[in-house]
Amino acid sequence: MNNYAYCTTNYNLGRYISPNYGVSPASQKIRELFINLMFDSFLKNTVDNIYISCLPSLYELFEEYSENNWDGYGASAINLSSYINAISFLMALPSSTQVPEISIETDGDVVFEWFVSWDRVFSVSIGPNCELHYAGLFEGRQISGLEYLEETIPKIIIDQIDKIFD
Amino acid sequence: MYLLVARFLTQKGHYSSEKNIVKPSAFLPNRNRETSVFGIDNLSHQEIISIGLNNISTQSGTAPKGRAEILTKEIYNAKLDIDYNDIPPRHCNIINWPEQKHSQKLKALILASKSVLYLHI
Repeated sequence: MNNYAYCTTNYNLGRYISPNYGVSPASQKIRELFINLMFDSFLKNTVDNIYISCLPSLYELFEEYSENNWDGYGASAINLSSYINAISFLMALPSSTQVPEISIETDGDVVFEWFVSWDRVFSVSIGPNCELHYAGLFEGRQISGLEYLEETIPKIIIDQIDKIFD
Repeated sequence: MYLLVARFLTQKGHYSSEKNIVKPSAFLPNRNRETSVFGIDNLSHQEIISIGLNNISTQSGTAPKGRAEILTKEIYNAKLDIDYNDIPPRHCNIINWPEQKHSQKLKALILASKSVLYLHI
């Protein structure tokens, strides 16, 4: 799925692009300018820096871990659904969130980690079913649980990420 | 029985040389809920590297980039167990992982926090 298809699907940008546009060169040009304007606006306002920072490394991981047994211990490859859900997760993070480190787990899930010290660390992974498995160590406390990525990231996860850097 | 075991790291995503840490995902179990490690008591750095080369690199096609060393008592403290199967020699599996993934992640975090990173350069 290219960026345009993704944006229009997930952020409903397509509603701004009428299918009843004209066919004249002028109409085509206006439509092209309009789409470019929508993309600029999307990148500047809707998609924040964290997405821009992480997308290239996420794509690299998708390419690098696309075959089974990538670790020599029988790990599963990342699949397209996990990759797309990981992008949705990044897009749903608040703009104030610190940039996470991203890697792939043995079951093919994408994991986002925020690390300050071993007393302030939080990890959340997402797979093909939008399940968010999280775990963290915070000032002597251990936390873990399961949530789901829907339109937004559950508050408990955002709060835990923020706590790491408080 | 060993006092010290090593988890060989084949992926750069499983450690951070910048922060000098092993990442939790390095310890997550496979689908059989086992994490493969090797007992390394009384071995030199070169002997440990040889174990990795002989047993891990042939499967993944790449030599281990490093290892996480952890005391076996830390594994027991995390309420996990060790199967000293010795196949191949010195091989063990960390077992008794919980079924739920978020619980596995928490235990992997604890193991990573107690382990020491050694890079094979």
